[in-house]
Amino acid sequence: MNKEIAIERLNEVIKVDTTSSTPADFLATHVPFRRIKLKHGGGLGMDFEEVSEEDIWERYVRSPGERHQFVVVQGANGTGKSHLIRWLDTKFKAQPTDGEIVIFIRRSDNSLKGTIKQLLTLKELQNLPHRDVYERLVAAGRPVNPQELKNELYHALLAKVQTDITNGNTDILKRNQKKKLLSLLSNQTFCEAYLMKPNDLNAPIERIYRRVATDGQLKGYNEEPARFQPSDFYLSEEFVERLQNDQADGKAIDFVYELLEPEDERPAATATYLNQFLDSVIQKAAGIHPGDFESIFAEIRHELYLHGERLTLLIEDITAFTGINESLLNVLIDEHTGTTDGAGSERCRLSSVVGTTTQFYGEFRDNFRNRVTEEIYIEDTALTADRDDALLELSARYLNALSLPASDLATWAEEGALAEKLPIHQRVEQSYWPTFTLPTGQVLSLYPFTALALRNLVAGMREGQRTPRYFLTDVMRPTILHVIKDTLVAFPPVYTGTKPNLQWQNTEDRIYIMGQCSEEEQERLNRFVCIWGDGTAKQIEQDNISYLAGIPLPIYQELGFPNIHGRKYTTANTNAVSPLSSVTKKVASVTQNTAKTPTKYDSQRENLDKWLNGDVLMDDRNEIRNDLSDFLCSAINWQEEGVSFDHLNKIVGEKTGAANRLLAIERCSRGEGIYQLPARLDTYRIIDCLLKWRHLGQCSWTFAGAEEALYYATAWLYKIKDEVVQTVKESTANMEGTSAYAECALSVVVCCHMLSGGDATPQTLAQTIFAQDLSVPLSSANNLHCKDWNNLLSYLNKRPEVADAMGVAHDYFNIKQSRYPATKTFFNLSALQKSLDRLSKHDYLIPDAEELGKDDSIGARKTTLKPAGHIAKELPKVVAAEQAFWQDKMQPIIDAFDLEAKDLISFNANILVEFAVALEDFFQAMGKANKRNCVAKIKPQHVRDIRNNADKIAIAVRQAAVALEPGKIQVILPQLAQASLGDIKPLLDILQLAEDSIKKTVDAMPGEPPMPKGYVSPLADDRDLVTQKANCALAQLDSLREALSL
Amino acid sequence: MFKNSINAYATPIRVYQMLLLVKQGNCTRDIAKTKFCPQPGDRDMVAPVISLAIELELLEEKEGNLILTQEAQSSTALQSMTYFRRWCNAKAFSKPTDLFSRISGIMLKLYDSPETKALIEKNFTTSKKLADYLKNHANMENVADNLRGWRFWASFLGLGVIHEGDKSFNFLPNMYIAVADAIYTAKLKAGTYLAADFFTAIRPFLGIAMPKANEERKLGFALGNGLRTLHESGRLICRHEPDAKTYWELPGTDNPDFPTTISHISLKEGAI
Repeated sequence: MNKEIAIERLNEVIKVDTTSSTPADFLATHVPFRRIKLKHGGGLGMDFEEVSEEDIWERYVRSPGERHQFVVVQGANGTGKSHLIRWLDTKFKAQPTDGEIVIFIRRSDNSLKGTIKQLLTLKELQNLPHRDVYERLVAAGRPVNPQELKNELYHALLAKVQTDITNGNTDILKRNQKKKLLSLLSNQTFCEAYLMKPNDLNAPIERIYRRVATDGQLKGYNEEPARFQPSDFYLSEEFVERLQNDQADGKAIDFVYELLEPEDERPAATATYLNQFLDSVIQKAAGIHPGDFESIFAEIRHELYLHGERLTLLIEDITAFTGINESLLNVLIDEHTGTTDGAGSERCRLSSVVGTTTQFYGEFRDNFRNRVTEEIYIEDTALTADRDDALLELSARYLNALSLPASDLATWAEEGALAEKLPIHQRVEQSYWPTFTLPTGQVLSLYPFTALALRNLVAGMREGQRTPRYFLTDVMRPTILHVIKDTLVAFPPVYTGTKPNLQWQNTEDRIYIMGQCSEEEQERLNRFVCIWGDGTAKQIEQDNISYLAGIPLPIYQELGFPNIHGRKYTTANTNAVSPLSSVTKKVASVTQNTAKTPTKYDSQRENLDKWLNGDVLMDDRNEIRNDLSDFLCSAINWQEEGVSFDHLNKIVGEKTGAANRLLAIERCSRGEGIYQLPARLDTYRIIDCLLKWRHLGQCSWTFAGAEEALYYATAWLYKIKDEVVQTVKESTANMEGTSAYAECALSVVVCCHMLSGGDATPQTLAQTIFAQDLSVPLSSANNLHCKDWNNLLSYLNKRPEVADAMGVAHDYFNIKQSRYPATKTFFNLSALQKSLDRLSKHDYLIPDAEELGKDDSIGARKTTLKPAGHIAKELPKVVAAEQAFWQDKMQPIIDAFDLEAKDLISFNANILVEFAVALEDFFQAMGKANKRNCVAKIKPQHVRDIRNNADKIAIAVRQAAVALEPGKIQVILPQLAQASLGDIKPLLDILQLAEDSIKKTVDAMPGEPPMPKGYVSPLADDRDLVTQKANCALAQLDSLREALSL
Repeated sequence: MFKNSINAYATPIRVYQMLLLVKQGNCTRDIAKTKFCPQPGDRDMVAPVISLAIELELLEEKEGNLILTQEAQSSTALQSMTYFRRWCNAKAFSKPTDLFSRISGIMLKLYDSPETKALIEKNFTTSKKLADYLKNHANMENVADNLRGWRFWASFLGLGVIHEGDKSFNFLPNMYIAVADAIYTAKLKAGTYLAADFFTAIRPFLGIAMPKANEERKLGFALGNGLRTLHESGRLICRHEPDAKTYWELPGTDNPDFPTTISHISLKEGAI
């Protein structure tokens, strides 16, 4: 292939519409139709004879003489009708016949109007009367606004139905049915949802519009006939509801119900009924007045007759433009002999060859079919013909034309386009690439294809699209583009328009070959061996060339594949594989004897083979995934790799009963997982090993071939281990290697530990925290803590996640001997200490805990995040509230002993002893003053309690004082928890009683009886002063004593 | 390693953790017990771990204090689990008469003869045939307990892979990691070696998996698999040069690229 020329010529040579290529390219790439069916007349007879294109040319087209002809060429889309007609035109031009005017009418101009336009350019018609008028008439374009035209079509259709209801000209539907149909067609909801559904190219009116529009903007090869189809009236129950909701006319709703009747043919009848109006609807909407053009055409024929000319019309396609075609058909069937019509009594002979699809031809009216003189049927194409050479010739001719300058072919065409003189490009590729020899003996290169590649690529095309047109666009063009862009190292391309079979003849061959290739190259090699080759590992020697899978080995090297070699076969023990050989039928192989009843392994292996070739892997019982998971879980030393068994168990669903999320297999019927096994040979092989282990070895590695399977399983493990471990580690948020969920669990545990009064020094925490069974501190019922404190404890006691966190914190850091539950603990001290150190920097709180699991797909890793988050949010508030609570409690002590808050830190038991003494003195004084009843509530036992528990109370006061100091939560919290309000309570109670007693005493003092005899209360002198002193005395016992002992 | 019995408490990671704690200093048995096993009932696990660390010449006990040996302090052994494994691989088979070596010698050759292949069943920890064979050929008692401990180290040292699934328990020999560690420890540089020289260099570390000097030059399945994995992963190249005077036989494989006899081994720069 000459890439420089091919780059320039690609768009010229490979054209979707072959009729638009240059005559030279057309002829150079033309592959003769060798099997065309021909029938005389257009009736229903089946007497076809098989003829060649040369027969058609000679017998019916070259010189029909005075014979009127209306020849129809029919065939499916893309079979080459246009190509044949174009070829006939080219032949005509190359070998003109005197007195015969040949007009080729393209698909884009196949109306009567278009035909006349072309005819008016003939020199023979220069003197045609009124020629200038006709020219203006046919040249007048009608500006078409798409929506306007669609509306015109729609309203013309409604008018037709309305007229038919009135006149009753048709009988496909009954009158009342027509009325209902009209009501439905007029309904806006129906219009918007079906008839003229916006942006739906297949909506009926849109479909018809696209055939009518002549603005040239509608591209593509949508050859859907401009017809109503039964499916246009397949409506739904929901639609009835919509109509009812919209309060549609009852007749419309009735008709929809009729359309919905099962087994009723109403949709088909409705389509047929409406189709009968389409021709005139289209003509009206397109502004065509057929009678005018038919008259003009008759005049033209008369004029040509006068010049002694005969007319041949070669019409590429009459599938399109339904309504417009009718007038064209009318003139084509009009013979030149017979009655006159007033436009001219004598008309030239008309011979026409008209292309149409088989489907459309079926809709020809009888009066047209009866006038068909010959019916030509193109049944198969170069691609569907049961012969290799047609496809190879087509390809070779295109490849040759691509590598030749246009001028070379133009010269050849001008010189008569003789087959034996077809220019052949100079090959530049290696001689190993296959060639094709034309019947003339000329050798054309097939580079970059092989015969197998061409056949396989065509076989992969969708049924109905295996035509030269799609072959050129979907196979030839992408392949050539790939090559000329110098991307041979990625060759062959991945095709979108064809899905060739990528199945090897047997899986062992595939494994054998792919094992020699890197993972990155496997897909490409797979494509190459299966499409370009025969999908085997067969290597043979022929004429000193080694072939692998039917492809010469040097080609593999040229394409940049690694040095691969196949299984050696001599030509004696295998059928010789030729690079041009046909595709041998590929059969999915199962290693077992297929005559036997398939074993479980056989069926699973077949499942696996199909998966490798693109199907879904059926694993509804999760057996395959579980076996793979078990293999990885047991074969990897997870703890040594830094993954705790607790973490692994959460992923595989151990204990939790959740789905195993370790692995997912691409295209598998079940299962999601964090480590994806791609649908590649590697995965295929490890699954196959484990299938053998399970089914052939009954869960042991003792089956035939176990050594190789065992080897592969271990080698695969060593290859993927690091990636699996890394994936597991990164599958959740982690903090320097420790999973976030474990760190959250640890946070919960340490906070509970602190709330229980446990010391949180990180250096010793590791050994103290787990020394006892972990538990949540119980909430106190007797108001020994603030409300917030108690609320938090209540939360911790109620939430099951908190108890879970206790277990997680332990299990995560425990080094176990297996991933199953352990009874003993041996901590992974380095990891545990690292986490504690890290947590201690933040008071063991993780404020964003809940965020950490936001995207985690594994539920078991989320349970600890919530309590950790809650604690992180609440604990600082709880500590503040608890401090305030304690400040309240301590205030009476501060006041009573006239202290500063900071003095509490050194609160001494002696103070309390002295206080007890003072109280006793006070009692005595009150006794002397005969006021004992004022202090009746303070019992001697109270005072003894203070005296006897002075140390305990003092410690509690000091502890509370520490907790009131500003500082880190991890320091304050344990102190707050340890500070015992119960210990301080006797002091607080007696202070309260003392205060009450003093008040009572003060109230009783001013000279009131009972007073000891001879005692004159100094208080009586100045009651206000004494009251003031007494109040001050409350804050200072000495003053109190002094005041009372006065 | 493990002279007469293999205590399953002494797993590789526990030994490594013990060494990391000792490395921090001020460690006694009691401290280690308290730290690793806060619950008193679990503390019997610590002694076997300390014993093995001592056996591996990484730890010693002086006047009641646990300290790292001079060798351990000056080596890279505690830099990571990989270095620790290499250290252990260098020491594990230094005494072929130790129980760990005796069991390994048998387990690594299970696939090498029909007689030993017949011992392979679904679960090697409960297989009576294998237990009886090990009793006689490895001169051992308490087979189940010893095997339980052996598997941790066999797997960690890279003698093969443990496969556990559906109540089965298997050992799949492939000395990929052990051979790579031996090459590292033997300080073999990149270059091409005669197979004989190569095997002589790694024999001190992998002698249990190799034929004795007077036996035929035939490598077993476990070592062969290890070499093949190294070869296929591109870390070394095994080949048979046609004019080589001596060569070693390997078990047959499905890989046409991997020779069945080798005369030379090439090590790639930086691959080990």
